[in-house]
Amino acid sequence: MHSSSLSLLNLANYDKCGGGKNGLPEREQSILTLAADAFDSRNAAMMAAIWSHESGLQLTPGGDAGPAQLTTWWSTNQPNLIVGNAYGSWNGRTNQPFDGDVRDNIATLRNIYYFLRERHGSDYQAAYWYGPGDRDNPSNAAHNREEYAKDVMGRYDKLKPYFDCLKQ
Amino acid sequence: MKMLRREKQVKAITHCHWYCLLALLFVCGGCDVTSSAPPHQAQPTAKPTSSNKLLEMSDPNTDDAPEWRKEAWRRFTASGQYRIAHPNDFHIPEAAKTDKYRRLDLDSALSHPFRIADINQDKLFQDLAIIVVDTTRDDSQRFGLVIFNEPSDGKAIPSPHWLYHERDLSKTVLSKWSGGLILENFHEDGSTNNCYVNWNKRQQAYSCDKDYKH
Repeated sequence: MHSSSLSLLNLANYDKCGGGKNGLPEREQSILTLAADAFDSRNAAMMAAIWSHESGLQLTPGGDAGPAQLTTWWSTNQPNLIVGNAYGSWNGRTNQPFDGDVRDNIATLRNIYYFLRERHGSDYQAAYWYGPGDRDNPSNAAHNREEYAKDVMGRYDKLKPYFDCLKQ
Repeated sequence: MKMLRREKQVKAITHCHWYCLLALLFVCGGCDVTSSAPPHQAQPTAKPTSSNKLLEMSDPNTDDAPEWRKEAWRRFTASGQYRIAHPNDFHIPEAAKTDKYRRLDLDSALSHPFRIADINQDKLFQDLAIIVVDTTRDDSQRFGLVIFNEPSDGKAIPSPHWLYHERDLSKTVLSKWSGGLILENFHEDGSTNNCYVNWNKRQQAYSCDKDYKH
């Protein structure tokens, strides 16, 4: 095991990098995002940016399913992206906390992010297509997705230096 | 076909990464990685004397926070009557902390009793909800929950909307989800009576309801 990987998993730089402050991920969230993507800071920052937008980096949020706020669209249309117990007992919108496997949920977020980036060509487009449409008024979908992507990329700009710092 | 191959790769990577992580955790069993110091150990214990602790905490009003939000909070706390709730204002039952991740979330919610989200569903993502305490009282009804809606021009200073005022929120935490905000209200046995925060555009008022209204 490379010593830098162990050091990273131990988040030796966590305090120095400002972890848990000013909206940056706390220790557990930092580990989850980094570990889900072999310690790649760019991908970790994008995943954390989406996670931050979706559920404020919570581990057990209610609403849709888990930290990534998965919906049935993914399990129906791209079931091979879903990891293990990513949904828990979730069966539609709920105000109860998530009871599935948090790591599986984050791994599924990573898979979806990879999938969208591969299909649409950029991080911005991945965020755009992760964002919500508008079931009631489809003509609003493009605007909604643009606003979503802009917000996610703004979060990414703040998170990328943090994850770079953790890796130093 | 290319996509199918890619998806198979993704699936393989999925399993590989978690196995790698598990291997790391195993190798690093004595490194105290997952049981390292909780992120929120030191909490203020002294009685607050300042009306505005928000800027001191890990909070939404950091240097890069929008000016409207800083100014709205400054105005709200200017008289000294209200401050952000502190962790020791809350009494979340231990029974609610059912596992490691729930504990982390609840501990975080107590030391950060605010959420930034699109709470009124206008596609502006910086609305701010904060649990506050009335500094002039020390009874159980001293809490309030106030929400500032992000102005559409990014400049106007929003007025506070009280979701709750003069209410016991010592067992309540805020939870963000993709559709806005959920309040988790705990009973002593750890069970909950949760609700969705809904915005009534016509009445320009918030409510917390069993159902999500959008």
